[in-house]
Amino acid sequence: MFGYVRSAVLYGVECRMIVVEADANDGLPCFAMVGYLASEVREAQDRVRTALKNSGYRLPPKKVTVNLAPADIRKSGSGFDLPIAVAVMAAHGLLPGKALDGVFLAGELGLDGSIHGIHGVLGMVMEAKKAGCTSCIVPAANVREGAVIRGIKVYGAGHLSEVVGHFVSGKRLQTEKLAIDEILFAGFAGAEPDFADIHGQHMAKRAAEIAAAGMHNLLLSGPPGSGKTMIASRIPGILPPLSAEEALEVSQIHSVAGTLPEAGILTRRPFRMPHHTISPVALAGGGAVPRPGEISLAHRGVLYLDELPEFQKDTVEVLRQPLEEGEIRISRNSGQFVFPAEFMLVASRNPCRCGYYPDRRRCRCSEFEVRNYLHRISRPLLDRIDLHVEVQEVPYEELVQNGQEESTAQIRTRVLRAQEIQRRRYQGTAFRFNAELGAADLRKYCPIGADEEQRMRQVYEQKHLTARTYHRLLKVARTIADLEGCERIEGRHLDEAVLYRPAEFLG
Amino acid sequence: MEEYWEWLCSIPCLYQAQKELLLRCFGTPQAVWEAGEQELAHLEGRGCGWIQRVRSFRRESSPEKTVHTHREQGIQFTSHEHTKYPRRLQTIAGKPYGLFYKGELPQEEQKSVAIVGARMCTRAGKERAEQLAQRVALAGGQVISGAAYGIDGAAQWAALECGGASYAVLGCGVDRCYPASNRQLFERLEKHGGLLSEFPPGTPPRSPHFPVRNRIISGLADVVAVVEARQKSGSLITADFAAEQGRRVMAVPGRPEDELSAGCNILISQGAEVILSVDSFVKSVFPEYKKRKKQLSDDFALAPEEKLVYSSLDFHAKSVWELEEQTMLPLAELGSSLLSLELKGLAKETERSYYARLL
Repeated sequence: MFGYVRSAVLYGVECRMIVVEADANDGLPCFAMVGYLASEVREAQDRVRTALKNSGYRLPPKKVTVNLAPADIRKSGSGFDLPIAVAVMAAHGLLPGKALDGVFLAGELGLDGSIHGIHGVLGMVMEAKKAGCTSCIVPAANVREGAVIRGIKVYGAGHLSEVVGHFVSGKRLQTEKLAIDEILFAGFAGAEPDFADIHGQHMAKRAAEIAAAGMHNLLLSGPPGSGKTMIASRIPGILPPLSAEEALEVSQIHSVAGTLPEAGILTRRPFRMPHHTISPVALAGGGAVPRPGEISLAHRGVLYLDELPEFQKDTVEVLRQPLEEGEIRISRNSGQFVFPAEFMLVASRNPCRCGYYPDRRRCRCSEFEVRNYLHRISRPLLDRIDLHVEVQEVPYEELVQNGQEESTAQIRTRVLRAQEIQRRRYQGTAFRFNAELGAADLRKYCPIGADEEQRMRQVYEQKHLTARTYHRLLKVARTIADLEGCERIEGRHLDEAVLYRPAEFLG
Repeated sequence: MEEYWEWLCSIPCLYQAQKELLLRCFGTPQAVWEAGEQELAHLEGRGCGWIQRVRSFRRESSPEKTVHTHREQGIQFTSHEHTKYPRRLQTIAGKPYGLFYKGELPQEEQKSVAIVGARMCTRAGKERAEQLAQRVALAGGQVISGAAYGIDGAAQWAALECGGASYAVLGCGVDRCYPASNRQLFERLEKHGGLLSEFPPGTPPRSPHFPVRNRIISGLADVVAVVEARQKSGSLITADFAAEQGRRVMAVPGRPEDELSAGCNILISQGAEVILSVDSFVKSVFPEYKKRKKQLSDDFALAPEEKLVYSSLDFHAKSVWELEEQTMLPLAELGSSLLSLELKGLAKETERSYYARLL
């Protein structure tokens, strides 16, 4: 007899539908698996056989052939155990083949028949819905991920016998339905680090606000212990809340990486802070079958690189293409994988090895040492960071005073307004944020008056700016004007932008 | 006569002592040019292998050709016999026979101060050098130095930044830029001051050249100020020359355990004047110069915030957040005022987010 069910294989962050077919025939008893299988899939036969036996199903000795189609896609991952087990049971007539029509299955089996969680369920359910399946059976551990998708029934199963019961005895599995908006709302209302906890640091906070409003990348430099990480970790909070669509998109990536929270989907913008020893592959994504790296996990959120000069050069160089294009392409002989990677880059650095430059009272580094330290960051990467800001070491008095500091919510309101202005301005163009403007577009979107131009010319000469720096300064001024709701860029906006202009290399 | 001097001085790798010997033998540079091949060959045979270079240069280049190529490159020359030759150098021992220069030669009637110090300097030293140079420039003096990394370059930049003139004496040809990262400085120096060298154009920077050129630095100066110097430092060589040449030597003192100031402290122990503060330095070097501080705010029509910010600034740099606390101004306004002050030439951003007043 013959039985088949549908499952899926992860292919980057996307999924490809797979049909798992099984046939039981007379002949020498054996269990053969075909269909371009990775070794973890091939091992499934032992797990499936043992799980079936331990769940109380005796298979008559027959020649069993299992095929995973289409045969030209390499099947990897541990999610095929459950579909293989169900297909084999159908082939033996233990399950009604009809009931399996339009059912999507994925899950890993333990030897006792229990079903373990797998990665990428969210994407699989989305794909199953697209392929016309009517119901999905996924591991109970992952059911909340799948349950946010509307228009398809998602069942969670904890044991093989529950799945069999679902089809045979009418003891249906529990279906789960989650309303994405509610999760998002509930998740957002929860406690998160707040800007109100940071005393002083007005300059750095303001820079964070401007960066968030225009989606500019940001570089914080300051002595150790000055709160660079504190500031960076609060930036996702002042970005607009995730929309339902974005939440699914981000959650799908995290589902593949297995970093989804309990709630099922991500409710907040991700904040990723990889350690500086990270390898290029871990940052960009990769592997034989590429898996998303840190930059993709930071998609629609913040990627924070603490101590940027300490990162290996080739690791940091990896960022250049994704910063430009918002995605990373990884080529393998099996094809090209595209991972989304639209993130806001926040980096921090000590100003020198000892960390106190330019505080002359404490830094004893020589000019050479300082220069060498700063030169470790590649110029092309620095060129993609619009805002540079110095973070001060907070004096004790400021730390203990209980002043009224602005909360994340207050800042977020202004950021939202500024982003709304940008959305309206760039309607019908390829841009969404000021940070995306190229040098050629500045004349159109960042015009400045004659007086301001005169002053900027002086600044240009006085501060030895380069054309590149000047362009980025204009973009930042545009964002500052947007934060204020000003149509035109005024002198004061430009003046403020000068405070945060990108640092030139020291002469 | 000038062209023969220029020709003689253009012979590559011919040093002072060797030129002296040639002149002792032949009397004038013209005589060297016109000397018979045999005479030179004779000298070469007597243990003067370097004559080889004179002979080959004589074959390659005539005085007219030498002069022509140099002028085409924008390089001027003066021999010690010419009236243009800096008077201050006339009296020093081992004065160079000629000077190649781009830009101008130092003004005779202006007071000139050499500010020298370590290449590997500290931030504090650099700032001190900048302050000294600024005040010298504002008091109408000219700054002489070696355009090196560290103290030298910082002082010269600072002098140029506030509109003063500065002159660099190089250890390579004036058409060379060493160190290469100071290219901008070299370009500015050529416009607002000059680049001087006793070495012919095209001479690469070699380590023995630098101590030698230090005698010219001190020779061109009335006062030599040493900012930061290790115990074994080229700046001490400059100071020694200065003492021999009868120039005033001043030094910025440092803490005893501070290696980078050890040289300065040694100088002081040997009788150099101590630079106690920037003000006292200016007062003693320019006794006739009056501080114009009082009338400043009237000179430049300052807005009220600018006045407030200006009064909070100091000669040593303060950070933006320090100023924010002192003036209680919102950041954006503070930044605006600082920028205006900077554009008016009253303040300077010494380091990102650190501002110092200039006047």
